[in-house]
Amino acid sequence: MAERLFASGRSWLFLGVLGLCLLALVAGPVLVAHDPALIDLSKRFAAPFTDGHWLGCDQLGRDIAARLLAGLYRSLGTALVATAIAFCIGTALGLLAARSTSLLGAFMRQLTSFTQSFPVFVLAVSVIAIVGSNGFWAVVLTLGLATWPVFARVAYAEGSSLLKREYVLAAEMMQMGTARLLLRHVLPGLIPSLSVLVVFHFADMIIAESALSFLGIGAPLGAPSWGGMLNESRAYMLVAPWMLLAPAGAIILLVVSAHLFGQKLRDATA
Amino acid sequence: MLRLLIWARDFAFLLVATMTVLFFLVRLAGDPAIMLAGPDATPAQLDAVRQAYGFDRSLIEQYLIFASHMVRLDFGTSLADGMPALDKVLDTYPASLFLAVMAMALNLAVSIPVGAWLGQERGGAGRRLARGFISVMQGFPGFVLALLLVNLFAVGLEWLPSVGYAGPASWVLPVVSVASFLAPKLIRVVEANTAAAYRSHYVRTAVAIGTGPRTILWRHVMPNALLGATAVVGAEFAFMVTGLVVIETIFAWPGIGWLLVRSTLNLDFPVVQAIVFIIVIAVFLTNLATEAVQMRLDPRLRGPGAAGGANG
Amino acid sequence: MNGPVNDTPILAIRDLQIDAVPAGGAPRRLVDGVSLSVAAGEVLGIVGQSGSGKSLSAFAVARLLPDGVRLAGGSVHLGGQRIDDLDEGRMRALRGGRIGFVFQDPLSSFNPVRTIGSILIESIRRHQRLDAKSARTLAVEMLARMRLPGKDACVDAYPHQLSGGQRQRAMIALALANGPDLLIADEPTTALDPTIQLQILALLKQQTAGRASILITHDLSVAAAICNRIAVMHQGRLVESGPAAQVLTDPQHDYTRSLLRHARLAPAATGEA
Ligand SMILES: Nc1ncnc2c1ncn2[C@@H]1O[C@H](COP(=O)(O)OP(=O)(O)O)[C@@H](O)[C@H]1O
Ligand SMILES: [Mg+2]
Repeated sequence: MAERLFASGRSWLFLGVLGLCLLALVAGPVLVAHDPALIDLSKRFAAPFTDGHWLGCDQLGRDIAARLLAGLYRSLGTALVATAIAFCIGTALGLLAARSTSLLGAFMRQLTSFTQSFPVFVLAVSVIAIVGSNGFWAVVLTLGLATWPVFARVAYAEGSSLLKREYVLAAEMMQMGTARLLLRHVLPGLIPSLSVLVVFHFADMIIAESALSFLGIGAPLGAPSWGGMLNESRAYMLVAPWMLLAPAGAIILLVVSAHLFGQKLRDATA
Repeated sequence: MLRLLIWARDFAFLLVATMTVLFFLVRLAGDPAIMLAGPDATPAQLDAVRQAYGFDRSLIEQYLIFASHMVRLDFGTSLADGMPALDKVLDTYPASLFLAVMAMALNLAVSIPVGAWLGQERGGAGRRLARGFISVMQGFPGFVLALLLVNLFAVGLEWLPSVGYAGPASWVLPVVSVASFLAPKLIRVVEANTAAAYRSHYVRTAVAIGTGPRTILWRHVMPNALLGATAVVGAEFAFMVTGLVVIETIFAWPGIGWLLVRSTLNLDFPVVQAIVFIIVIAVFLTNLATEAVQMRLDPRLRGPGAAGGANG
Repeated sequence: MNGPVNDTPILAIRDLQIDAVPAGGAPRRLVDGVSLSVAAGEVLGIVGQSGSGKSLSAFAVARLLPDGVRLAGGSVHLGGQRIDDLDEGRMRALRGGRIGFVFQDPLSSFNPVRTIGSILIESIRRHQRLDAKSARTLAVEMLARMRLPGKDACVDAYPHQLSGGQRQRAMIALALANGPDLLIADEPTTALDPTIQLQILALLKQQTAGRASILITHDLSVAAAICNRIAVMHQGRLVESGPAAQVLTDPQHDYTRSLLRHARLAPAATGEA
């Protein structure tokens, strides 16, 4: 499987981009010696590559590279934790529904369709207001709570078919407890398709985080986030297109490479 | 008939559950009295506002009042401008539906021919190039694409207006943005279904009775390929009727997504509640319509007919 | 139905070679040097275990090979005329016209969203100059002749509405709709219940009269029931062929003998019914 996965350039592209992100996280503060919050009106709209500002400056003269790096922490952190939450809730509920009576299954379906038609935006705004000032955890919580059905559906469908297999039935005969049965015998069988889903979901969460911060949700006012940078760039598209292109490029690179990796992973596990 | 009852039960459950959760969520989210009275209001003024709007009663009491009004489709008036909340929503929804329908039309017009073309054969430089492009587009964040399109065609080249809802030129960018977000997925599904149909035994039968490639494509392959794509089309449409929040914000498109952002941030509860009410209905109707279309297109879903007995 | 009726065979296959051509690999020979002929009134049984190349050999007659498989050599003559090198248009006129096919799985072989009748009418109008109304009349007639029930013989039924046996009857009607010279039936009873199998075999036997027929089967008892001649295939090659009685009672090849040992032949089946 690994051979098939890495037989093409796509997987390397994603790992390359991921490596680049890690490098930026570790070595970024060294490479970008600027303070993302430092306002220097003399550097307003400084073009890329002037005065050590690799990617230029924004309308307040803040270094874009530094803000991009700070936004990377937020994006990656949000996407990873939100994916983990959605994965845990979705897989657990999906497997339980697969295992148990039709009543819980029906309830699951209801819960899923409920979660699907409830607007994420309203949820996000409300959760932020309730949880309080820390926008990071509010967004993470919102995204995790709003997107778990993706995992639940797959876990339910594949879990149900796995539960009908002989070795699982045999384990059941030996009166193994539900939790152990699911964890030991069913979950391992779901790993291929769930890992593909995790990669796609990670990409979706990067997009969702930037969309929310684009709308002004999550990141506190003025705090660097990719979506916030995109939003600020709109007023200055003509004078400072790099304000748009830098965060847009960062999101696209991360998301598209993750998606291409996910597609490869899917083909390799199919 | 039984199906209809089950549908009705599920729908009622969904609606009640959603509206209940929403009610308590937005009440916990903030105090609209501050919004209404203004930031400089004295505690006495705030109390007066609370009393006027009934915010001083207990949550349960407020909920019961809200529920009894909702049954009569009365969502109260907007805290922002005093207009009936439901009217406000129904005034803006057409713009959203218009965007959804136009984007879906463009999506279908592109995805069906391209998917069918890709599904016909594996090889060829053109097909390989197209597949690579679609792979990239599949992961492309839609609203970032919209911003780039605005930057290029509206700000840079000045060919098209960047915002607004005033005539065909202003529709182009929003519709293209949404469609290019929807299309890659549908293309992939149509492609896979087309390829599967060409490998199927019933197409072999068609070849074996002397049917030519055109008839095979249009009368044997496509009906099956499109049937398999209806679920995706339905899901994409259901996604759109929940409001394209970011796209509508980018293009200042006066639709339900744009209204949702403004009302939520302004703690305009009545309008938010009316919007979510309408969205739940719209999603439900979309799913219902999808099932109806599938039922029409797929004779197998209509159940065994009156034809023939069971003996060989 | 004893022996060939005519001297010039309807179908003559000589030295057939079929290759698998995988996308990024070397071609692999699947069928090698198969020669067969079938005369009018004759039913040739091709037997052999699954994967021995029976279907490919038969499909190659009308160039009906799946993707990734191609005809690599040999010749096919139909009624004395060479057909393996015909252009696509002429070959299409033969398929369903002079050559009728019956496939193994009648459920997957009918388009699920089309009625049985619409497929039949498509075939009839493709090969005979008939207006829609008389094509439909003919379709009903064909289906009724295959004993499909009802006033209009299930012409408007969808495949899933019929039983397995009914679907295979409809498939036979489709194969015979334009009065083909050659009928090729690829495991026509394999997907059916045992009792239905007998009915379908009886129907086939009745319909093969007067034309050249090929019946592919991995079941020697099926071949014994209705074939005049039997050809045995093994690993892409023809290992033995001859009159049915001779192959069944006096097999020359080890492989045929082992097939016979494993078959459960009714005593009467080895003679001609
Ligand atoms: N589309 C294909 N691509 C590659 N090999 C094939 C294909 N179809 C059949 N084969 C191979 O050709 C051989 C003969 O197949 P077939 O004629 O279908 O056998 P059978 O005697 O069971 O009808 C088999 O070994 C099979 O694996
Ligand atoms: Mg076969």
